[in-house]
Amino acid sequence: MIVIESSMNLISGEEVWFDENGDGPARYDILNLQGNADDIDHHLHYVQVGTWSTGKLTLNTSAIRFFSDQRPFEEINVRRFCSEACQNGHVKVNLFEQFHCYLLLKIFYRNIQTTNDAVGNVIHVVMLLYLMKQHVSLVHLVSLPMKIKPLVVFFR
Amino acid sequence: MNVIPNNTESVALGAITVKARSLRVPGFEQYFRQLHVHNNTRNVWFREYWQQKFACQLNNFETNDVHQTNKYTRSCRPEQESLTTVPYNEDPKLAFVINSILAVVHGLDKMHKQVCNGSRGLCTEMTRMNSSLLMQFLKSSRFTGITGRHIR
Repeated sequence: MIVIESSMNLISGEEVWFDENGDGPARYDILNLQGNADDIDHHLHYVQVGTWSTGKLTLNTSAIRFFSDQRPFEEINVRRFCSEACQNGHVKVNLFEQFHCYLLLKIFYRNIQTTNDAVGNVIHVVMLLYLMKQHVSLVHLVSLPMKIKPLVVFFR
Repeated sequence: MNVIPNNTESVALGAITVKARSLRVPGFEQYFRQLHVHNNTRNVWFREYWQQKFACQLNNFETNDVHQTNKYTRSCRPEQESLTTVPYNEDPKLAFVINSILAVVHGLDKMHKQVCNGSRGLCTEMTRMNSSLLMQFLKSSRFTGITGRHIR
């Protein structure tokens, strides 16, 4: 028998083993997202610039093209704010750890002070029903901030 | 490989990213392309795959296929259909799947050598599988993965 290297694989070995934690060998490719010189916005592609094999880093730094190598910083249209502003009549709700705008639809109950908790519960039930209708899972529902109790029902 | 999140192109340019290295499995494309609904009866999902791939309905000679719903009305023509010319896009996780199975195989082999003392076939000591013991043998195995060297 003759042992030869696979033609498509110049890395000898690719051995499989397990360490004391039962983890296999960690092997990663390191890629760099590059654009064509003549058409930066299209034809973006990944170029392999290195590997990381269970602790051994091989990096071809001369192959890396960082952002500023490819485009002047002033050209980029980066918007810097926490989240988009809501339209009139909408309010922000932190759902799924992202900001969404919900429509402020209706305000229930006039005697807010006296039945605060009870009303709050009613509102949450209403919201629950609405979210269930929207197939929002309960996992996501628990992340709803309870501060949004001011007796309104938010509809997207 | 070429997944660039939508609408992030303008800021993603120049990014350094990391992905699990996945090499193509030598010979797998050749193997895959010769699979045919006539010769691959071992894989119980292959008929279903064939029907989906060629958007057609295979004749159900097995009666237990009756309940199977198929959205295609056109009959398959296996004499004319073939995987040799269809687009081929190898799943990058393929080598991991094969290596995982190889790891179990190596573990079983080591276990068999020790528990059955090299006797042929399955010995009584191994008929009741001790999965913890198998795990030990599996973890201690070391072998050249499917994307490694060829032995010809």
